[in-house]
Amino acid sequence: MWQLGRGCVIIRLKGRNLERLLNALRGEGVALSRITRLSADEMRLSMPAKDFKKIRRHANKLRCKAHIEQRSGAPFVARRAIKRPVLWIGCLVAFAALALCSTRIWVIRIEGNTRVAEATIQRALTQHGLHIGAARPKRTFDALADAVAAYDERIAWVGLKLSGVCLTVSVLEAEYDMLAIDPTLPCNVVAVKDGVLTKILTLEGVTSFKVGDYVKAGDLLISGTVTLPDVEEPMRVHARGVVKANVYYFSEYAQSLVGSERLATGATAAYRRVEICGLTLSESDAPFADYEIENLSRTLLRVPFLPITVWEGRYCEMAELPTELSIPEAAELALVAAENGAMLRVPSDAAITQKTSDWFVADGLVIATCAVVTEESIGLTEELSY
Amino acid sequence: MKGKLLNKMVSSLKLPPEIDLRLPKLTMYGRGELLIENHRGVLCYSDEELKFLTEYGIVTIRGGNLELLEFSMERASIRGRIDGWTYGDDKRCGN
Repeated sequence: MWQLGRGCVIIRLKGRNLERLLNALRGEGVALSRITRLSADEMRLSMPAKDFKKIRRHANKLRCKAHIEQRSGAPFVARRAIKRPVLWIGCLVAFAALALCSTRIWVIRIEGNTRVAEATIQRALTQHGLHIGAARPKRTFDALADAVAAYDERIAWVGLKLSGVCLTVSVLEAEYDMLAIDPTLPCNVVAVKDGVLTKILTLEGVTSFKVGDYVKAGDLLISGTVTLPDVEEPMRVHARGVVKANVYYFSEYAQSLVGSERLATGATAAYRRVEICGLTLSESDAPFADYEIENLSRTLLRVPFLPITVWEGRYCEMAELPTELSIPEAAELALVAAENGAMLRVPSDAAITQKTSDWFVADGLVIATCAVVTEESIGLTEELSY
Repeated sequence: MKGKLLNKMVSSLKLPPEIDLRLPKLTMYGRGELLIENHRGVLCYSDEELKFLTEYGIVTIRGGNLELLEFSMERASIRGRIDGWTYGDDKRCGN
């Protein structure tokens, strides 16, 4: 490879003292390669182009003839290329085109959007001169980003980053509640869960409940229909307020004293797997429906260029076998299951104020109960029907 | 004198013998390639036989389709079917 970089020639030598010529060149420090004997008095070899003059000098002394069969390498390519002006003009045009193209946007990557369609964002970008093939913007990116964000009210923020010819548009969408009712429409606030009221603050509308009252799901907590004294026709308002209540979550779990555990039955069978370069070539079939592989050992076969690995072990049959549980063990299992059952129903934003659990034995079963008390908002706005 | 001194030094210091630059070293890769280092030149070169002069005698390499891949001051690399190599003193070619 380095020879190609510095230029090399393939020489054909003819004469009777070719070995002496090789030794003479060796003495001069010439690196010869690919020496092939063609006939009793002919040889072909490759050598650096710069050392060709040395061969001439020795060849004359030893009555040998040398002529160049082939020239290769960078110096010869450069010498040929220098005589081709069209090639240089082509290179120049290609570089100019590359330089021109690198000043434009060729890839637009949009990320972070879920509700706003990519086409909408692209329209917004196009409106502000950012499209595929467009020149790099002269305005600052912050101003452009603000302009793009203002295109659609669902877009809260837009970030623009130009990396080479790739424009990355990061979109942050505005959060809004799909179920929210227009604040100008009249509505009621109703309870979505059963509970004991801990706080009721009416901002608009009227309520007939007070703190400590027990409410059921669906009860009208704050009414949007207000009747003013001396007015016959009731007024309809957008009922608003803060309604918090203690909500109770109960769960029960019965644990039998006879449990089950996944254990080995004692039945075994041989296991073998052959891998080549990490890919499984063959694997012995499992004789059991449920099993585990034990005593796995690895053997690496020393085959050149082919790393074969053999895994050997044994299949152990596994089955769910009955086991006797003590009462404390069964109680522990039952308590965990009951607590999980209750906690799974508690909303993530609810504040847990109390949690109690207990267990008892009845009819050969350990029964655990768990009660979780939370304080959470239970009011839901409901549009008034006319 | 100089060679003897170097030999003594190499053996007394328990250095690897490659330290002695005159010592020919032959490395064979399978049957198709042979590298000879610290040679003093080629005496004969044909398709079936190659003879190299070394400090310790003449190394004859026999085989078929022999080709000198590389030939420089210190080393020569031979490719082809190599049947064997021997040390000797016979400088004649074609034996």
